[in-house]
Amino acid sequence: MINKVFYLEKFKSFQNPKIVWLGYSLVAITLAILPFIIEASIGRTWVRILDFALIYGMLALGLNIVVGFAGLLDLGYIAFYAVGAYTWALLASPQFGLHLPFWLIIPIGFVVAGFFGVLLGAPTLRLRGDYLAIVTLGFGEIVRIFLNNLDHPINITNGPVGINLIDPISVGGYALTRTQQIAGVNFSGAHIYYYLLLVLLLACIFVCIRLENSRLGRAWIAIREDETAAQAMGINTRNMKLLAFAMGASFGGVAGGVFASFQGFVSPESFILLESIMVLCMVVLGGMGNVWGVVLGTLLLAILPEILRDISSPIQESLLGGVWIDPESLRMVLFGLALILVMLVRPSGLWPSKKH
Amino acid sequence: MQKDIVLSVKGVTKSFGGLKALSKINLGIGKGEIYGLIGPNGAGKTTLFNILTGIYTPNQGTFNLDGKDLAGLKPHLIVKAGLARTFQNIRLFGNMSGLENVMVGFHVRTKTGVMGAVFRHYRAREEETNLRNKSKSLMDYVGLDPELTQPSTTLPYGDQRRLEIARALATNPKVIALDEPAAGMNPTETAGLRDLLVRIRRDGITILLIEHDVKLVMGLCDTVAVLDYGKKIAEGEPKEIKANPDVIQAYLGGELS
Amino acid sequence: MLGSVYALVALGYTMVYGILGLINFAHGEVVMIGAMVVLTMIGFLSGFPAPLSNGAILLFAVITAILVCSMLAFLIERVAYRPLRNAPRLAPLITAIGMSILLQNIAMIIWGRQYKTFPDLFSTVSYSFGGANITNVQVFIIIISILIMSALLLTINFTRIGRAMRATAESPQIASLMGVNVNYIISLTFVLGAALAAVAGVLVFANYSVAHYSMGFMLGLKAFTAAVLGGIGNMAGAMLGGILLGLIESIGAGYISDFTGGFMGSHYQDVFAFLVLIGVLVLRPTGIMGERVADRT
Repeated sequence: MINKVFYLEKFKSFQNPKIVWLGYSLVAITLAILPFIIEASIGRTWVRILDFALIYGMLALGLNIVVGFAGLLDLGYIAFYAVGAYTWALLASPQFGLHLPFWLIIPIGFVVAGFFGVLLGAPTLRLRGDYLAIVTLGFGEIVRIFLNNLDHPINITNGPVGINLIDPISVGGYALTRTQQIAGVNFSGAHIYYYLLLVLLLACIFVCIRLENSRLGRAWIAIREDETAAQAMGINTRNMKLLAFAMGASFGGVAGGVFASFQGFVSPESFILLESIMVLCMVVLGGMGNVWGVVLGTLLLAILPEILRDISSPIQESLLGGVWIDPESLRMVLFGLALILVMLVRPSGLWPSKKH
Repeated sequence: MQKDIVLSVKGVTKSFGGLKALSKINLGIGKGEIYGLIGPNGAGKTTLFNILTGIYTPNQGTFNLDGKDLAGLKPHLIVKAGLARTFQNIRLFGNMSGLENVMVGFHVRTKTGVMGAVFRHYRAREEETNLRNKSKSLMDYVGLDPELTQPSTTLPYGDQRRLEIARALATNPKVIALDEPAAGMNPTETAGLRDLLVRIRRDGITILLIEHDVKLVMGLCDTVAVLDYGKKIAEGEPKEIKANPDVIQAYLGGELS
Repeated sequence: MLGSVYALVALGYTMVYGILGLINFAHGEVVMIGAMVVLTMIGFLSGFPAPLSNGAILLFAVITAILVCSMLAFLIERVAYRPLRNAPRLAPLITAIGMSILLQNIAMIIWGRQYKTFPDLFSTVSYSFGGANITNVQVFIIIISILIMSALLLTINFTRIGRAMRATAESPQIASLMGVNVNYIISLTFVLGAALAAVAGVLVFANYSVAHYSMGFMLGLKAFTAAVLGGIGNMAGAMLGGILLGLIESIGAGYISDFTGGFMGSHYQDVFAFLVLIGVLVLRPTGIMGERVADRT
């Protein structure tokens, strides 16, 4: 009893509006100046790496709706990312000579990817567990193979070469991938995209948290926990699953579009199965179902391989006196080891959704 | 005796392969009563239950709730029509708290969609507050502490049973079907359950009760039907059932005293 | 032909899945390691002072591969899966993926990035049956696969160990109450699956004459698809699924262009295979020979 009261007291100090606002502003300032700190300390490439981590964050949050909330194991999630990226690429590049503005393409990508989500969801509703996993995997591969081969007889996707010269997002005639000078400070493309992606990611986090704590989120989690009981509580499991697929896919679609515009080109190579698996690892490693856990998992898995890339040669030199092992392989060996170790130590993920 | 029938079952037949699990079952469950369904193991009680709640489709026959034909509908539509259930082997949403379990029960009576969930406009907020308060009072009603935050599967056994009942009540049913709610309960818990069922009946909700505990059924129910080998062998007031030779035969004179 | 190799690998997936409910993503890598070990052993034995016949070399190499793969699978289970047996369902899936990445890259470090060619131990002879060509290697592959699969089926169905394995697949708890050493049976399952994988690795290598550190992943994926197609957890289903998938692929590669009026070429053979898979699962959600899961009450 005493403990309970004590915790309540402690909790109240966190509820003090002044302290909360101070905390929020500190976080906001850190996030705002982060790219400058990073560029100054470890170099500009790391800002780009951070940008990609943010894109992965959107993907992982989308997949978390499907896997974490609704409990549907999806191994072909990257297909929706591909759909979003190619939608952008086709609507804003010299491929068809179309150059639609971003505020039109983002909603289109959102809807098209969502449509693909339903397309995948519809035939798989009766499947459970690992059967679903393999069908979604097949779906992901089908999409990739089509992208790879739709350059003949009619050239739509430009085949394995991919589509180049994709328009960046531009506001009032200013392309956001170019360096811009605002109030005397130079913002490179990577910097500007960082802010854009940060805003998008925060919006995704917001939507996910709102969804989770709503009638819909509860229905998804109920399906995850026990599908039969969920039906017996009057939940239309078919529609709720389709909604999960569509929502998750839409997140992927938007992420894909932004990716295409940031990168400037897309090719089927970016959408291989390993990418789906990586995103799944982010979700599970971070803590399935918990939005903050997923964000943590993403940052870790998007950044860890890059750190390993940087240190795998120096470590060898200091330990073995020369680069004996292909640094690329060593990096992946360490990465594989890290995945195994983290799961062995924390089987429910680094930051699980609820105590078990 | 003229009853006001709320749930009527007509000629329901179900077979699995060559095995006839139920043949031509007719039942009439009166409004506001506790209707007991008993029978030896394998008599077809759970099969009938699964048909009524939409998990199986009957081969023949039909059933209706307040005149609305429900045979062959999906489970969620049956719940929507007003027939809710609990499970014999408790099926709570394990990692959710008790309150969240009950809140899921309100799903079918609420309608917040994606937009409402994300933007939390006035109507969505009102609905959420409303259902949270109602869920809390339902927890109170069945005798559980609404503030408990632990995962529901870690609750004591009797509490889990009562939580299942609260969750079913949250769907605002006309008829609530309970599948062996007293199974595994000790005498004190059974007595508590009995009080709860009486209260539910008093509040105007009809109860369909499948139960092994014949003593509980006989003491509590207004009407009892007995199944044996997939057939209804008797239906009537408890005292008629107790005297029915077929029923005594089915139970080998064992438990009915 | 390809189908019989899929079937061998699919058996490994299905046996593990039947007992643990786990997709063993690292299984494809075991196949690859099998092929690589054979390659190394052939090179090693050919340089032996006392000349060995080609048949003996191959036999020794295959036996070594089986031993290595079995030990490897035993270790994988011990290290990456056993500690997680009661963990959330997706945790071992992630360690399996980690294991797959790990093995692939270790293989790359040991054997390099190049494509390896199969040594000329015997000459390929081609026979023709009414328009269909088949080589002596392929005939050999089919015979070996059938022999191995028959032996496995006999073991599972008629021996004490087989009975224990089936009991464990039904319910590990109850099997252990009946005196079955569940851990031993699980290890054994992994070892058996790996032995099959090693043989499959050699067969694939012999047939295509090339091996590569990344060959296991796609092969494993196809084999898993085959296992699901047949009804995962079901041994006969895995064999049927493997053979069907092989057939579907070759038919797809050969005729898909005709089906679609030249619109889709043979690049789409995988699409075709996956579409068939999706179609089968939509009609029969538990695979062709899978049991209906009776968990609905």
